[in-house]
Amino acid sequence: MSTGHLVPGQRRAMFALAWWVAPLVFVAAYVVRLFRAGQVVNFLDDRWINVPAAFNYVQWGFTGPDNWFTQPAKHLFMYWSILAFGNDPVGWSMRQVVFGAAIVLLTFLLARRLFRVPFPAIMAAVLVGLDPLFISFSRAGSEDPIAVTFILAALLFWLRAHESRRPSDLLAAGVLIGLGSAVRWYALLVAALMLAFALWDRRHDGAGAIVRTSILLFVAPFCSYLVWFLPWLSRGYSLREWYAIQLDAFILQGSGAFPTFDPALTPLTGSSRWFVQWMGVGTSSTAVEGSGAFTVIMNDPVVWILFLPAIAYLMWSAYRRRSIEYWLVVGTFIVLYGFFVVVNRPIYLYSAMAVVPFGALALSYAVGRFFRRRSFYALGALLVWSLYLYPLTSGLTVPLWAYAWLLAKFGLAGGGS
Amino acid sequence: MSSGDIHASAASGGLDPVEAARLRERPDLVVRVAGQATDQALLARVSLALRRCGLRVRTGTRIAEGLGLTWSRWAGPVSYVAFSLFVALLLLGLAAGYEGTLLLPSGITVSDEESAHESVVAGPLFDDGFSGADLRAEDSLLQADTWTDGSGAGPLVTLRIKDGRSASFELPTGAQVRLGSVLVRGAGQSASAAFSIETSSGVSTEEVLLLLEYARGSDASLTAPALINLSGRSPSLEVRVRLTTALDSSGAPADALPVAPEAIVETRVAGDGAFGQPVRIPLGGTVALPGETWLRLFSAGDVVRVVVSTDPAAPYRYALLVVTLLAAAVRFVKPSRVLVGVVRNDATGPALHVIVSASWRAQQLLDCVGRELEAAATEQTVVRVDDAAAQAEVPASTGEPPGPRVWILPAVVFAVLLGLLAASVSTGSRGRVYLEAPRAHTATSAADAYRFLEESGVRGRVLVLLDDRSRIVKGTWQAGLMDSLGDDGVEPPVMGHNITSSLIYAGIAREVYFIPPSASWDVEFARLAGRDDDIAEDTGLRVRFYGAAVHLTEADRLPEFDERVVVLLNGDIENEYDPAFLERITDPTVADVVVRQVER
Repeated sequence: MSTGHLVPGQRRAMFALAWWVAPLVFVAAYVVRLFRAGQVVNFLDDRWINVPAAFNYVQWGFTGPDNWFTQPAKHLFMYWSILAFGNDPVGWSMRQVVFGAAIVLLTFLLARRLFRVPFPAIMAAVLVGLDPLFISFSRAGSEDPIAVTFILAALLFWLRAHESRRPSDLLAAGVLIGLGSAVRWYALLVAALMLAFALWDRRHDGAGAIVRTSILLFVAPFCSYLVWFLPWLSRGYSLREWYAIQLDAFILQGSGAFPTFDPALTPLTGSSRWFVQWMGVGTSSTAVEGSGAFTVIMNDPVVWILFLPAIAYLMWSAYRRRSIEYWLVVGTFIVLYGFFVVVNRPIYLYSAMAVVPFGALALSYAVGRFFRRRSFYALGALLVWSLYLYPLTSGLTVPLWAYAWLLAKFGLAGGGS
Repeated sequence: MSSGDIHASAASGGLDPVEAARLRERPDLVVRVAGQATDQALLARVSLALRRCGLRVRTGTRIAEGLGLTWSRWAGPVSYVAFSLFVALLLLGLAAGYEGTLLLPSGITVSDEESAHESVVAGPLFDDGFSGADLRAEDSLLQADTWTDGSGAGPLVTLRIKDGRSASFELPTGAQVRLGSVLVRGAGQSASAAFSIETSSGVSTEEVLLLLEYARGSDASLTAPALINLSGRSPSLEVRVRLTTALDSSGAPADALPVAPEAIVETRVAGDGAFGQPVRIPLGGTVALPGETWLRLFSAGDVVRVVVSTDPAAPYRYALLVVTLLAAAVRFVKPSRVLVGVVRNDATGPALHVIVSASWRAQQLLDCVGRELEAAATEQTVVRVDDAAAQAEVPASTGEPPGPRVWILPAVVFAVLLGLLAASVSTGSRGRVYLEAPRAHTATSAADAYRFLEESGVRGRVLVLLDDRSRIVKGTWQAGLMDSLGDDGVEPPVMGHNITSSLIYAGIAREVYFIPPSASWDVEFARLAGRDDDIAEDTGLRVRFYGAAVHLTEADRLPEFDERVVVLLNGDIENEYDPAFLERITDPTVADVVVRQVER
């Protein structure tokens, strides 16, 4: 049988790529996050800033009480979330829940498009879907889930454009990465990478293709970035002043002269430790003899430590297969993580959300390649481990004897420290 | 085969240039047919093969098209309809629902009825149909520092709705629980104390219920103070009350409230200076007040404040959201589409070029079509080659379809860019409001200056601040000030130390040039340079306050403005500035509004 270039490599278990799997992945991730979304309140939750800032920005173009040097798109997403779900804890959290579930779906779709086989897609979705950090921030907290959603969606459309050569796919990629940049600036790094790879990909297609690609991946993102500032501009600002504030924000963030954060967050700083050490902070909400309920923001180095060798393996595969798609994933991981390691400002654990999906893609690919028919045993082990951690991010009551060793690492009561 | 052949042969009319180029130059599968057969005969076999793979077939003169999963095209309309219904139900829920605040004294059952609410906000379609649910808060024995920040467990609350269902749950501040269509949200907890005012004969003349916020005081109290005003008597009294419990041997409260509560009572005649000596009274105890009056603490406990609302449409809304999301997800599933084109080549004979437009089951369809074409070719020899070999025989793809259509999207993007830039410039200029006729005002206070500027209508302006302090401070009044913008009934909390901040919040000032007198320059420079976000400028330095640039500069280094400015001058230190500079900066051609604030 011939091997069409659309679907190289493995072909077994194609049934798992049936159309209904994608919506199922989304619904499952949505339910996992929606559970207790209104009740679980962790102290990293900035809703006391985010909610008034959302109303202030929509009504008056005013970004307070949020920091002026962050990007304003998040305010509108919060406002729309409140509009759709109510001005209450559920409404405040639904923005996170929806985008958090979208990350899982997009990771699944990316893996499916990249590797063309079912196992990496399923495993990548489980890795991100049940990761404790993604669970925590899919309910409350930072805007990273929004930015990561747009980054993943942009990459998905970039890959579609690479295959279909349709300008509309490239335009979608450009618009989406611009949206991501309007939430978190680190998406600009991915935008630059996408543009560079696309230009390389079309280097033999003539000058016209280079110009068109540049317009779709540079001008379109600029438009979808600028549009979020219209409420701010309505306060009388000019485009020159818009440029000046962008520059000041860049200078401030680049200089490391950063406003002080809550000292309670100190255990979450240090991007170089993300993959190799337990990092976390949390609260103990009830403590009955022998059991307790905890809300912890944490990484998962048991799994994450495998990301680095997996990325190295994917890089080797990209070299062997001369696959620009694989190189794009590897490049995105390296550029983002490299940025978080070298940047001269405090980087907190929640920024790891931007790199973990790419580590998950690489790890799921590597597991599929190495374990082959036994891959599902690895997936089973991952499921058991993830379900063991789930109560800690969800404020569920757990027996202390089963979690004491882990709680001790976060200095929580009942954990022995 | 030329692209013109393919266009002319497109069965569905939906063959676009990209597909045409791909079918011609980069097919997923090439089936070479040995021998001679007419296009019609070949397409008949192709049709049969496509049907056996479960596809609906349409054929043209040289192309056959197989379609599957066409039902997924309904996902788009379904998602639109479901989302529209979702929005409609949302609006209906807002219009027909209500949200009210109930106080739940611990141990007492309170019904969700109009009379029980501290405050109610109802939609225009609300028909006074309160839920009638019963709520009861138990004594939590928890102190403020463990649950008022929302991070810990809250008081135990029991909710029983009309159909008899009930639930008990911990309800920290901000948490929300739904039972049926009733939503209950924790909105804070406080201690409560009930006092009776009694005559010398022990007859109660008045009862007072106080809510006291939990806060540990230096005097071993467990709550912040609350005031009882006993006016209408001679003399009028003010009684300050805090709650605590009996003390242990170390002088600290022995228990958590409301176990063994005690009140710390201080009294003064209204208008007098200091309160008298604090007196501790246990539950049931009394303290004598001036004028033959006694104050008795007759109960103490917790009060839980909850926000209750109902939204009967909520379950349907969630269901519609799920439908919307599902349908939106299904929209990713594009209908399967297999195109088979007949390519005639004098050198190699006829060939069938196959492309598949579906991501998730492309290989399945390709395998099936290949297998069926092989089975259908009973009379002719079918030779299949992989795409690499096929591509070696056809020219390399140019990557994009030919023709001017490839420039349509880039042109649209450029048009959007130009439109957006125009909208940005227009939005910004509409946000800057100047006065036709210059105005000057002498204000007696910062609040007066603020009111004048707000009422004058100027917005989005450059403010030149001539003062010895920048008047920029972050503070909790921001929320109050923002509230005042949308509600004339709310007094803006503007004071001397925050006037510049307030003008920035209110959108009156978008940029500030702060020029202190020479004598204050060093102090102000050091103060602003001590911030985290100061940036050096040739003329001084600048900081950003909620995005507004605040430049610290000197009078002789002030830049030329290309627009008129608003001047706010501290009249008390006016003589510390160069009169020539003041004359220049307050000239109507430079400033359309000048406010001179004089307090001393």
